[in-house]
Amino acid sequence: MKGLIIKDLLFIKSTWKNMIILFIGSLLISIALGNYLLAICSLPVLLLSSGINTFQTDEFYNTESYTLSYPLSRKQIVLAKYLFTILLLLIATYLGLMIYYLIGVIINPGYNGLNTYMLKYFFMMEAGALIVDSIFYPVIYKFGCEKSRLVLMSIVMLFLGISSILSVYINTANIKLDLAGALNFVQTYGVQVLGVLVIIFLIISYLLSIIFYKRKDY
Amino acid sequence: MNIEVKDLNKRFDEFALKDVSIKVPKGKIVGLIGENGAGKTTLIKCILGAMFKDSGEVKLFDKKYDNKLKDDIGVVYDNSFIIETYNIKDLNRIMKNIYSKWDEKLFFEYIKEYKLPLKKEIRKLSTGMKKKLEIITAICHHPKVLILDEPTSGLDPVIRSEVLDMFQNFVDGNDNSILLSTHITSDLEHIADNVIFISKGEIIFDKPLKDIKDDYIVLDVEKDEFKNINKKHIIRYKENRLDYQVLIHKKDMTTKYKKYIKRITALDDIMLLYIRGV
Repeated sequence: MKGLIIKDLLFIKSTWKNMIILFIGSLLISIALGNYLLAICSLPVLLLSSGINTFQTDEFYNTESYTLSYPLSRKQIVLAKYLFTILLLLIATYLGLMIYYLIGVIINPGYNGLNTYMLKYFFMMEAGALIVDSIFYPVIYKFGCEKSRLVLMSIVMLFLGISSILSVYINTANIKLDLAGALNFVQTYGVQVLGVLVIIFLIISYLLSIIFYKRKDY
Repeated sequence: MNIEVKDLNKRFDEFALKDVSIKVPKGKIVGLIGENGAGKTTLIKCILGAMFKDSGEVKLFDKKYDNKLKDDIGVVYDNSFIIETYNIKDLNRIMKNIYSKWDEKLFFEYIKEYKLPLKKEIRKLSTGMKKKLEIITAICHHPKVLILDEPTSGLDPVIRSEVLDMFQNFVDGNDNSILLSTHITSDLEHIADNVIFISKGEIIFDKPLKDIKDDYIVLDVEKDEFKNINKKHIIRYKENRLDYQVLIHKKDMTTKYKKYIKRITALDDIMLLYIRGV
């Protein structure tokens, strides 16, 4: 199982140049805008979303049949992918905090915009990326990377459709939303709520992935 | 037995493996031959657990199937390996954490012997180099069995010969075995102990190579002389533009057929007549 985690980490290593370029780009935009949230979040979020890229690379190089010849159960193979994602989360958090520190101390000492809210948004972005991963993984295990794009697009379209219907309903029924209260709630409890959601999503995602992967022929 | 498959069935929409039973004894090289789409790769994937069987039984090393037993199996697929942007050092890092008996020293000895570049991406290696690397990777955790799916396809004769030597060295003087699936039957003529012929998902025969060569003979019969062949003796025949190719049992050989023998019967001839003959 450790071998599979190393395999995926080596893939991340092979993409570090692209990530650095994207990070420098986001840093320049942040400097221009005078808001460093983008710079703090870009690298960690890119890192977390690259879990999905490992599936695509496996599919592109057709490695699945070979992976299944290893002395590992299908459950262990799925577990390795989720442990790898948690490892990515740790690396992403470490990098994010380091960038936060570097911006605060070295690049722009005394910068007022660098505050605990920014850290909260950073953790929320991480949680969002993990939720996206946990939705993607079982869908990929079920349909493969190509088909999963269509499935996920359908999910997004469905979500947008429901949102549009809700929005029309809110307007016609003249329901007043407390947006300021909602924003306040997100700023106060956003990290905690997303933290709980992430754990629930990851557990459900892991169980679904095992079910789908255990039934699939390669 | 190192591998034993009993009454294995696997059904797809337009193809099925039907009651397939094979054995790979200790110390033997077993060739698995058949046309493209005959079911060779499906059978191998069912043995390795990449595909699920509908029914039947797979035993490894006389034990009930368990993924842990695959620690003693080395695999080469025709079109499935590691991510090819990795280099040989990366491959070693991965494999030593996959197989409990991974022999890093032996791996790098082979890499040196076959002059494979350590830091070059695998996708940039030539077909022959890549195939050698796959085989080296398959044998460096000291497996008891190699399962090879078309390991020599796309290789030139010199490299094919080198690769076949590697297989013989693997088996010679021990209980190791190889299940070698190929449609290049000439490879098997030199190294296989037993040959399993599969066609359209069914086993046609599973015999020692020597017996196959002793059992069958192919006659090249001119069109106007085909009537001279006793129909009861014909197992299969194929009509060509100028002549007929006729497969018979050697025991049915009579003196009047002797003039039709123009060449040594190869596994290819037998396979071709079974598949395309009537």
